[in-house]
Amino acid sequence: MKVQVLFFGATADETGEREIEFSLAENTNANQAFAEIVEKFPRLKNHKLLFAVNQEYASGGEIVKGGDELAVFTAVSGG
Amino acid sequence: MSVTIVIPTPLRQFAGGKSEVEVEATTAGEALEKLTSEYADLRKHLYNDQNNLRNFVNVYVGDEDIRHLDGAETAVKDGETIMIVPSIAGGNVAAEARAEKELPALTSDEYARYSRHLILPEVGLEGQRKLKAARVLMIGTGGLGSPLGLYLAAGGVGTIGLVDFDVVDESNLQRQIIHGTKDIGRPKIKSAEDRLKDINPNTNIETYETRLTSENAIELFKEYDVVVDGTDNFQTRYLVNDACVLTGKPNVYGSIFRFEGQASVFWAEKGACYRCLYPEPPPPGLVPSCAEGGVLGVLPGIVGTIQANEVIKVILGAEGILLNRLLLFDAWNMKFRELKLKKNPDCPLCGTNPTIKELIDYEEFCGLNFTEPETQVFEEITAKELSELIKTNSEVQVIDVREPHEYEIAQIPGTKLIPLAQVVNRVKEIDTSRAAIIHCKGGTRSAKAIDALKNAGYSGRLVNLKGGITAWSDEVDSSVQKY
Repeated sequence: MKVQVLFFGATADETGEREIEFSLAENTNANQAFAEIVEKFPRLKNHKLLFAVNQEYASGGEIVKGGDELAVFTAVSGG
Repeated sequence: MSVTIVIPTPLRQFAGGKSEVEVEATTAGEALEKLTSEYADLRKHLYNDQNNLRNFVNVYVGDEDIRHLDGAETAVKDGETIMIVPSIAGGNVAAEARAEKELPALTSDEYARYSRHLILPEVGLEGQRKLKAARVLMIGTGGLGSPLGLYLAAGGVGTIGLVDFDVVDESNLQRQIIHGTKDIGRPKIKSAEDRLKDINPNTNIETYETRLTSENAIELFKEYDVVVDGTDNFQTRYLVNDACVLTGKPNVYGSIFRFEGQASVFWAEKGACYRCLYPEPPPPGLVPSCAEGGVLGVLPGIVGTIQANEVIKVILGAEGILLNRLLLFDAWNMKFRELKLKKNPDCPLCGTNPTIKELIDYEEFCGLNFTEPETQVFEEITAKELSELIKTNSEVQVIDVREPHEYEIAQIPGTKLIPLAQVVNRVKEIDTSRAAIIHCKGGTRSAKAIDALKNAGYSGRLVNLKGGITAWSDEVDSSVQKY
């Protein structure tokens, strides 16, 4: 199944992407999905990443469905 | 004479759902009599038992409150509009009357100044008096604090506290619009105070020319109703959050990165705090600051204005605040997105079994105490020494790890450009048999490059140019453009 993955802030810099289509196996949960994304973009590993599924801060156990919107972001500190 | 009476949203339910009612009258009082005789339910919301207009009901003819005209006897012309502006949203009259008593009155100057707020039912007289009574503490008077302070002062927030220890630098002016060119070199809080006083002399400004610390934050926050986070570093953001949670204050948060912004209202009593969202700080040095990574000047203008908007709504008691929502704004693609947040029951600060019960050492928490010795182990060279070295030793190679668009602005002659992100992949282009001087704008990225090269197993001699090309421009060649 395909999902949309959005990258914000430093994660967009690290991946060189802001929005991609990403393939996942059926019945993948959020933790697994984000592990696969980090696998594809190893430069993300250095960051304290936060994840959201369908515009909701993800705790990890959520089952991801085809067409879902996943987001990867980090804290930013500028002011 | 036919006049139109505009009924505010909360009172429409007592006027048959109408937003406007036309009546025949020659004075404002007569018009209201006609209105309330037609809609009896409306009467008790507008008049007290002595048949006087309730003091929290404002009636405007044209743009003027009839209290400043002839009261009930104020004449109305044919076709004129009368506006009823309650400072309340219906409901418990006793509680509202009590709240009304405790709020400061507006002066007649303030009625004029805030007229566009007063005729807005969502603000109204009571709301404006709440703003006047409010005490807002701004942490930082930089990019976010600039528009924030301007709008809070303009909008009538009675007391604004400013915390900053920095002085105005020329490079601030691209986005920190509270400061002007004449303020370069002045303490930011002095410059901000002058500007805010100019916008609104009614505003009481309290300044604290100090760094916010674990020692002073709690006492300071206790004196205020709302705290606004406009700082530029993680350690202060955690400090602001923790002190807000420990003192029960809402934390109106905004943060920026290049052309992206985040905003939220963290308020542990009602929802998530900053730590519920970000339990741990990022490793130090990983996320570039505005000075290193750049920032679109208008971005803090937008994010700071969103913070001002939320501060005003928190003070007014509005329901639609950014609570439990993280707003993500991308100025380059002009997209606003929103993530839903929840209070984390395991949050060490505001969860069910908190383990953080007092302020901690935030430098240590953010890993900053341990980074300095690490960067000290690099071999360093000053700009002057490098200039001598180049003259006497043709073997030396100088590697510039800045970005190509920075290289375009200024270069040290004879350098090779390999941007930081590529330095490990292009390691073969550096000759291990000769000393390599690594430089960037100010010395931070070059230190990272050396670190990355060493970690990647680079065996040659690496030397960091202290102060980067900026120091070169200051000490060796002033014709090299500073930026």
